[in-house]
Amino acid sequence: MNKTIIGSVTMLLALSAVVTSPTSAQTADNSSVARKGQSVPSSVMTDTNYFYDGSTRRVVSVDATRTVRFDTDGKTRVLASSFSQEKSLNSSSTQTESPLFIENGKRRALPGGLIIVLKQTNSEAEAWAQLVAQGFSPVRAIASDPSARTWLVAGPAGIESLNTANRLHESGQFASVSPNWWTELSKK
Amino acid sequence: MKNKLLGLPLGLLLATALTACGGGGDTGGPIVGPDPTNPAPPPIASNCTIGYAVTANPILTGADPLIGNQWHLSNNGQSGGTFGEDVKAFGAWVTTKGAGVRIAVIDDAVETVHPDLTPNAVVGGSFNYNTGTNLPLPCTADDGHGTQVTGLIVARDDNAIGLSGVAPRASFVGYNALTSSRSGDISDALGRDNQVNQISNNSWGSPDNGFRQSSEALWNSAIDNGIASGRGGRGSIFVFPAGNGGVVELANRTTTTENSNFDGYANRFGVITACATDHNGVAPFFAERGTNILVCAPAAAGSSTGLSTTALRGTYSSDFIGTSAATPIVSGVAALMLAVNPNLTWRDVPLILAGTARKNAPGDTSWSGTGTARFNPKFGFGVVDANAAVNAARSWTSVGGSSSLLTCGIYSANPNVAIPDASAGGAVSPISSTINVTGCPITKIEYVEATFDAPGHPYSSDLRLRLNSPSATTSELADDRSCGQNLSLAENPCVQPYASWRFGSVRHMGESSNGIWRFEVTDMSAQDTGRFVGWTLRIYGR
Repeated sequence: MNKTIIGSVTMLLALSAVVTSPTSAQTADNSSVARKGQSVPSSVMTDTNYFYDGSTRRVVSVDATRTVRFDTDGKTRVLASSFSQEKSLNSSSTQTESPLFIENGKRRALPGGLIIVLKQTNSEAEAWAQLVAQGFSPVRAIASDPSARTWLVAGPAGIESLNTANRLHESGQFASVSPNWWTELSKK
Repeated sequence: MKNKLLGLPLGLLLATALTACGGGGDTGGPIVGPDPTNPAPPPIASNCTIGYAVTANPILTGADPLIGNQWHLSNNGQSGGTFGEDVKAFGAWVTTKGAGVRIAVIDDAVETVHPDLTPNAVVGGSFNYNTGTNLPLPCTADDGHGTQVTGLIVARDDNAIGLSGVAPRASFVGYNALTSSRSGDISDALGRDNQVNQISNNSWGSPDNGFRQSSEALWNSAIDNGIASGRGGRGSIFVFPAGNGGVVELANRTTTTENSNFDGYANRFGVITACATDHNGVAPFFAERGTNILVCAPAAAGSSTGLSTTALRGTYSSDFIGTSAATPIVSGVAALMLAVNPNLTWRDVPLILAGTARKNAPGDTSWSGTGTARFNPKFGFGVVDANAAVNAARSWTSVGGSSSLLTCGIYSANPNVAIPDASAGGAVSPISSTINVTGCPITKIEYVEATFDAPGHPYSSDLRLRLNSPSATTSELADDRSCGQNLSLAENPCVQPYASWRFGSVRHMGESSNGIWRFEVTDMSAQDTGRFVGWTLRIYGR
């Protein structure tokens, strides 16, 4: 990690949520760069995690230099992280912050909520009852699924969201469970 | 992509009219009062910097004073561009202005109370994912994108103010799912009210940062369900931008280029992918290539002038550019088509758009093929022609929807051979692998998907990838590129390995499926070697 990164961390500098480069605030040093013909891991991607995207297991890296804040106006702001990696990965002290994950240059974070796809249901009402009976708080059926099997349910922000989604998916109770990801998208 | 408001300084808190909303319709008429489903001013988050008040706002009659600036509708050289480099809207309007068609705009926000949009807004039809109300209004000055996009589709014509959309009598709803950017909201918006929303305009996509970024299962399901069951089974029409990654700035102050096929939203079967041309009919600096691109729309002018459209707080902007601007123009043309033929399916619409597109930039060397089989990875089948598309739509015999779609494959080949490295003098001959398709009933291809695996190649951007069809046409799936030096792996899209990356192609539209398909891989730059592990092929058509 070079001085530029350390400096930005201590200043808790707010960055735009939409940038042209995933880590544009960093100044590369010779120990963590890929030249033509060389492949050297980045020093800021210090951990990886996984999630289930339908039936596919996908890997995301954790950017320990950033954290993501979800504000009441619906905006999402990517900030330089004042947390240690360990704290940001395990903290459940706030409902409005998340570690920043990177997947092939696309930034993701966990604002809270789970996407649950039920194995079977006969109606939206039945699906609602099914979820409530299992201890969930349904927010709404996802309109793009005419079978009413896909639901957004309430859940905590941050890494707990990912851990819960993975645990539920791996339980085999549901067709799939994934976090309600915040995903960096660009207005074109 | 670019936004310059006219008249009012940023940060000004302005009361804007909130009115009753007509649902479109060619007859228009006066409004009757505030929106009955929203009689009170909309709730505003405490940190919003734009507020709105409720006032009546009657619809007037008369010419739109800014329509002369809208060169994309009718280009007479007013922006310094080339006469006729436009979407041929005026010709189409003789037949229809889009009445009866409803479009969903998924974006950051939509100023549904803008005086030039209100007449075509569906009362109570929009949705705000932040507040749970049906007013997806902007919260800050950063939320102007969706209002600009919406104006290009449905700004009301002949109301004595402002300008006109491509389908100025169609109706619209706005969904601000892009503000929250959460997977549940995005997926919900893609399917919300999809029995009455015919077209879904999405002027957004993956970040143009050079990386290949796949779509998510939830998003894929939304598209698949929409084309299968939207509009009573005729299928929702999804329009997405090709992207603006023609020049991508990287962290080391160098640049690279992106291909539209690197965006998993833009290269999905079931999506109409729109590119942009400028007012001379050529590719702007931000243009991406891609065999997934269907058609372009005029959406970039010279260095300082773009498209005129609606902007925040009842104003107008004149420099909106990018494939964000091309996308709503294509959506508007689709609305005109559906107005004259509501039975068109999600498969009919792209076929008509491709078949009636106008060949632009005839001197461009990337054109291949002739007649309606011509294609250019910069422009798809050419610039969308509203007049020709509407005329074709009127008498079009449907090819059917999802239930009649034929699919062949997935075929696969696993050559697992070394890719010869380029020599110091340049590229060597490509290495190739073939799949012989036999017994496939598809005689008219509509879309082709191919995946490619070379996971061990440490600098994947050395590779140029081509798919050659039995009809001897070529999909230019990816070109070699460079990213400079001194980038970490996380910053460097050029080292991202090819791991079953799925390419989409409309290049082979109309061809027959059977015969030998050849996948060619060429290493274009010395250093770094890897193996061509495998590839797959899937064909859709009739």
